[in-house]
Parts: sequence; C-alpha cells; structure tokens
Amino acid sequence: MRQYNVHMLSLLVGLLVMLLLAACAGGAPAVAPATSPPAEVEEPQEMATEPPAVEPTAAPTEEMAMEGEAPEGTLTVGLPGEVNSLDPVEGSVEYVITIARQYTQTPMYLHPDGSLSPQLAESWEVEDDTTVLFHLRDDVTFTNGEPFNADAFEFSWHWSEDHPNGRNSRYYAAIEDIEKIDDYTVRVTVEAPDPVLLEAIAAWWFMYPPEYTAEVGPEGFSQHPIGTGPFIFEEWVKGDHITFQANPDYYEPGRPGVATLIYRPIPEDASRVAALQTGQIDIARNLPVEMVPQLEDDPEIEVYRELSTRTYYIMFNNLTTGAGTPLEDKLVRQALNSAVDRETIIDAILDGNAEINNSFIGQTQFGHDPDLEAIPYDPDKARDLLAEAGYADGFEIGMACPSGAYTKVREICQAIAGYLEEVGLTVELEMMESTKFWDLEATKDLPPLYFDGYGSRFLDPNTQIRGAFIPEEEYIEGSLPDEIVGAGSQWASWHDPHLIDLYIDQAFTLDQEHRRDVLHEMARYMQEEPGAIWLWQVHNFEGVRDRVGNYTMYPNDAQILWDVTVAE
Amino acid sequence: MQRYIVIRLLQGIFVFWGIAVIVFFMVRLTGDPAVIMMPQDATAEQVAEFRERMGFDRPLWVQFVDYAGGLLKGDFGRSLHWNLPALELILQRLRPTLELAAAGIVIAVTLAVPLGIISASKPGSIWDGIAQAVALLGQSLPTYWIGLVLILVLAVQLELLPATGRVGWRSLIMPAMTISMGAMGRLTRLTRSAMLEVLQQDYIRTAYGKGLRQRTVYVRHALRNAAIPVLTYTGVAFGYMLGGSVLIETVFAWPGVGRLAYQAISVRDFPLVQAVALFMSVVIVILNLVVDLAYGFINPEVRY
Repeated sequence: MRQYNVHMLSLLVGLLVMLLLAACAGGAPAVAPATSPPAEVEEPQEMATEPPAVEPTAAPTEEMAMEGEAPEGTLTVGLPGEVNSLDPVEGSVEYVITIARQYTQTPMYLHPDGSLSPQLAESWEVEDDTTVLFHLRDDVTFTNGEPFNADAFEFSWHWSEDHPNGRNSRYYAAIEDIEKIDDYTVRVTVEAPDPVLLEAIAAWWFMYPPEYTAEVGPEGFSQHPIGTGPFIFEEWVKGDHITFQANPDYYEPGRPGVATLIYRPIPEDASRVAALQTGQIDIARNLPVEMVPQLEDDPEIEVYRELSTRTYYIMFNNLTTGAGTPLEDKLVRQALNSAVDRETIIDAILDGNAEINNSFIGQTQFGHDPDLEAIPYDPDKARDLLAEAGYADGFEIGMACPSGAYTKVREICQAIAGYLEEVGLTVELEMMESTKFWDLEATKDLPPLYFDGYGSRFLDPNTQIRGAFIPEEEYIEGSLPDEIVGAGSQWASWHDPHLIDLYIDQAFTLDQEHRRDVLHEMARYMQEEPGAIWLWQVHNFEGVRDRVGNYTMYPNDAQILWDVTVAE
Repeated sequence: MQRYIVIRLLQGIFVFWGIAVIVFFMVRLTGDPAVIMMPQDATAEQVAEFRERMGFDRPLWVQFVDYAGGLLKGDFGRSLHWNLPALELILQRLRPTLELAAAGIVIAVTLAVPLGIISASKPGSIWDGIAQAVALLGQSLPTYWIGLVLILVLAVQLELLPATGRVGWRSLIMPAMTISMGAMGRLTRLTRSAMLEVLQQDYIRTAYGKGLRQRTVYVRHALRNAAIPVLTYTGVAFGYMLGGSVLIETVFAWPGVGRLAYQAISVRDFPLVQAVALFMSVVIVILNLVVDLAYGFINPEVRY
C-alpha cells in the first residue's frame, strides 16, 4: 500500500509538471514576412476644406509602383481597452473604429483638423441642402478581389443601417435614399439638411464587400473583416492581440508604411507605459497625466498631446431633483459659475493639462468663439449674486461624481465642492461607482449638481449640444419642436426652449457662416443662462517611440496609421 | 467509491443550479445594460429600441425561463457585448488561465513545502524566522504591487523579461510568480504547523527508535501525514487561480478568464457574467471532488 501511495504522489507531481509544460508551450504569435511589391512614397494629399473643391487623385500606375520601397517592419500599438468586434458598425467602444480604420475605408479621408480629402470617392458635389453626388474611384478592389463600385456603396448603407447588432447605425439612419447613377456615381439624399453629414460620411461610412459580407453574415464579418484599406486583417486572439499585414495590391503607392501592424490591449496604465519603455509597443494610447513627466524624461520616447473634444461641466439637474431648488434662479447659476477657481484646479490637480472653456462649445469644435472670455473666478461677485437672488446665507445642495470615470474626478469634485462652500453653500458630495452614476443620470435621479463630460466623434459641437441639452419629451411639459421630435437624449437634464431654438437654427443648414454666428450667440447665452458650471477640456496624451515616423495624433480617438513608418 | 463520486456529482448539479438562479437575479440588480452598451450620442429612442431587441423589456420570469431552458440544452447564452456564444469566449480564454494557474501552483508548492519543512524542523531558529518572514510577505503584499514592481525591476530596469502579454514562456514567469505569492505564504505556514504537530506524534519517535534516518522519517512518516491540510489548501488555491485573477491579468495584460469576467461585469454583459460564474462553479465542484479523492490515496484511513 505504501508503494502504491508513493506512486500516486509521483503521479500527482507528474501531472503538475505536465500542466506546467503545456503552459510553457504557448508560442509567440507568428509574424509573416512582408510580401508587398515596392511602392513609391507619396506626398501627403492636399487637404480640401470646402467639400466641393476637390481634385481627383491620380490613379497609381504600374510604373510608379515599381519605383518605391516595400513597407518594412512591425508597428505595435498598445490600447487601454479591448474591442467587442472588428466591424465598425458593431463597435461599442471607440477602439473598434480606431482599429477598423486600418483595414476599411470611407469615401473621404478625415484629417485631424476635421478637413476632408478624397479617398474612395474621387470627388463629391453638394448639389443642394439634402443631396450629395459622389464620384467613386474605378480602380479599387476589396482585398478579396471584389470590385468597389456603386453597388458596394449602396450595399454598405443597407448593411450598416439594418445591422441586427448595429450600435452605430444611427449615422446612416438619416439617409433617405441612395441612387445609383452609374457604376461609379451615386447620389445620396438625406431627410433634412445636416451640417455634419460629410464629416460623418468620412468618419463612419465604411465600405463592405457585398458578396463576402452577405455570405459570412454579421458574426462572420465581425471576426474576419475585409475592406479596401492598406492593411489586411490577419488574426484576432481575444484579449491578446489583433494583427494586420500590409496589402500588397493597395491602390495608393507608398501606403502602408509598415509591413505588419499589431494592436495589443494593455488595460493597466503603468503596464502600458512599461511596455512602451521596453519597446514591446511603439505607441501607447491614452496615457494618464501623472505618467507624462516620467516619459518626457525618456530620450527614446516622445509624448504627443492634443486637446480632447470632451468638455467637462457640473450639470444642473433641473428637470427633476434641481426643480424647486435655488438653481432655478439664473443669478444663482451665474454665481456658481463665478465661484469656482478653474485655473487653480487645473494647475494643482491636472498639472496644467487642461484649457478653460467659455461655455459648452469646446475649443476644438467648430463654432467656438475665441473672443468670448470664460466666466472669471470672482467669489465676491458670486456672493453678491447669491445675495441678490435672496440666498445671502447660502443653501444646501447635493452633488454627485462618477468615481474613476475620468482623470482625478474625486480630487476635482472635492475642490469644486470646496469652492462652492466658500461662497456660502453647503454641498453634500457623493462619489458614485460610475456605471451606477450613469444609470441614475439616464433616469435623471442624480442630485441637483453632477460632474460629467461630453465628447464628440466630430470636430463639430452639433451632436454634443443635442446629447446634453435636448431633453427626452417625457421629462418636459409640452413637446419638442417638430424638427427634433424623438431626438431627445437620455443624458440631457436641462430644458431651455430658447437654447433649443438656437440649436435648431444651426442644426439643419449647411450655411457654415450662419452656423458660426448662431453658435457664438449660443455660447454667450450659455453664460447668461448657464445650464451648467462650465469647466474645461483636458489634454489627451500618447507616448510614441522615436523609431516611429510620420505619426499624427488625432484630437478624438481616431487614428490612421497608413503612412506611419518604423525604423529598425 | 463510485457511489461517492455519483453522490458528489449529483450534489454538484444542485450547486450549479443554485448558482444559476442567484447569478441570474443578482446581475439584473446591477442596472440596465442598454444605458452602458449604447454609445453616448444615441438618442433615448435608439436606447429603448436596443433594450427591446435584446429582450430586456420582458418580465424577469420570462427571461429566466428562457435562460433556464437554454441551460438545460447546454446553451450558456450569447454575449451581448461580443455578440458571440458565451461559452466560446470562455474557452478561448481558458488556456492562458490554465497556464497561469498551473505555473502559479507549481511555484507555490515547490517553494512552500520545503520552506515549511525547514521551518518546522528547527522551530525558533534563524531558518524558521526567514521562512516565516517570506511566508508573511507572500501573504500580505498586494499582488497588484508585486506585479508592478516585478515589471519595473525585471522588465524595465534589467530588461530580462517581457513587460506584458503572452509572448512565449518567458512572459509567463512574472505573472506566475505574482499569482503564486499568496498561496505560497499560506502553504508555507500550513506545512509548518502540520509538520510540527505530526513530529510530536508517538509514531515519529517509534520511527526514530527503529533507527531510521531523519530524511526518511520526514518524507515517509511525517510529510505524508501532514499532507492533508496542505493538499486541501492547494486545491482551493488552484481553484482561485483558475477563476482568474483580474488584477494580475490586468497588470500583465494576460488574456485570461479573469479579465473577461471583469469586462463582462463592467459592460453589464449579463449572459457572459452568468456563463463565467456557472463555468467556474463546475470547475470548482470538480476540483474539490478530485482533492477529496486524493485524500484516500495519501491516507488509507480515509474511506468513502
């Protein structure tokens, strides 16, 4: 029996060793060698700021393609999160779009400043307020060999709009019709004039190969996508990496700049920074502000910074819990705007990495008025305004903040509450777990004051204004104007008919001069009748190793890596 | 013994069912998935439409019957976030987790048992002190901190190992060391106390009396009798490690089950949270059974 037991023990140990061996056998992802034909490095395309003025790009010829160099090297990008799909229409996080942009394309190329240049469309004409005519390139094929043409354009619209799991289908929903004029010409008709339409098309209208997509269906496409882009999808090991290879038959010479592109999710900030420092990754997205000084000292790393489109504020929850409180008095709301020393908070808590906003319309966005001063810090004025409104002794008010949702939320909220108490208020501050916070925000059950931010995928404030200030109809008396029925947002806790009129005045016209004037007026009105305590926009940071060339950082979460190169 | 195994497995089914019910209703207390899953600029109408499409507007009991019916057919449900079968997502993440747990438990046992024995053989000595200090540190240092310190020292400063990810066996070393620390500390102390108790027994004196060498006495007589609590805890620790360590997998960007579960919870992916909980309950039930059966091999007095 003893012999037997010894055998069993050694068997157990053996099992453990085998498990360990099995564990060690997991290999590194294989990286296939680049097999691209040589391509010439092209000058950056000319930007077209006004849509109709578009020069068609010359199609690359065989000769041109022979002269350049093949893409070389591997570029690895570290992302802070994982993606749920590779199909942009299913994306519930920004990184889906970021990643999708490398293999799939839209009619226009979207530059970091919001300007557009031709991509799959050689040119486009805005025929009137509701129709745009697209002239498509006739020399493009999807990487599975299917041709790109008007049929693919039309198919992509249907696919995206009717997608059973489409979280971004709304960008297509406003389209009334797509009319095929000939194989390479389509006319897009929208229901109502939309000033952000062209930018939305450039940012969102990804083209799908009709036969393949229909054959594999939504699930198949989300796991193995195909596009027209400079990179071809190769492999997705969930939670570990996503690999792309250069497209050897890509139609624009000089693109892409690297042979292999790898995305890796590294959720922990400190680990992502360590991976960047050790050269495991070449680009680290979304660096936390406290890691920036450490990286700036590293000679092999350059820190990029851009102002994010997200604008922060302390919202007044006047549709529900704020109703009947002193916050209904505009003098009180003005007082609160004067009571907060934004500059000191930015310097002390955010290391100076934020810019004060004069209203809800951010500095990165179209229609921002650079001549309008932000409401200055003036506690005496705040006290006077409160006294004038009849609250010389202050009042009690609740305030909530989404813990951990944004950089230094806790410290920022404590500081703001402190400033409000300095002018006589008694603030009951509540830090909430962020998902619970957003639930309560959507059902308007937060306290009268709450901290939040609103970003945009566009460099235009239109969707932001709607999202934060057009309320759902069930929460207001009467109804919304006809133009925006059903467009209410679950995040809006404010109802100001004049603000809504201003919004409508600029939301359904393509006249950018007029829009700019209206948005300037809106910003002034937002200081006079504040719907929130306007705060700031913060910088986003990315760390890039010095072997990376031609890299451009975008103000929103976009990223296009077609031209990026790496040195060995 | 077969009867014992059958009874235990039947019990396991009850555990499984209980967990299915609890998890189903518990995740639904956390709030509305549509609020989190739809992008910020979706209109309220679009959010409501999503809720309806996913079936969350139906009465709770209808959703439960639907879910339970699926389970009976072996269908763990479909992840809302990934739009893929939940079981498929778990199985994809299982191998990295198995690797990490296996390596972690091997490191823990191979360090802890000798440390415990040395410590017990000369209680109060300097070796005992060192072993106990190591055990205490292993148990009390936060894994998150250990992980980051290892990365900074071994990867960033000394450039010996890859900082993050699952790229070959070398990338397993740091996460496995980190995950083994807590279990190592606990096991060292368990081995020590069990050995101390056994070494005072009469049969040990008898064994010495027979003229056996100390090594023989320790390995054949003492260790085998001290092994039961150690084995029990090893099983428990292995179960924990298989459940995936969110912190360690996050720090090392290790693509395991823990991070999947965490992500599922944070986006309120109800079907996936349920599936992970159920899957892990099956693993733990089976693991406990294996540990219980192993007692019998170590100690013939244990009968089923």
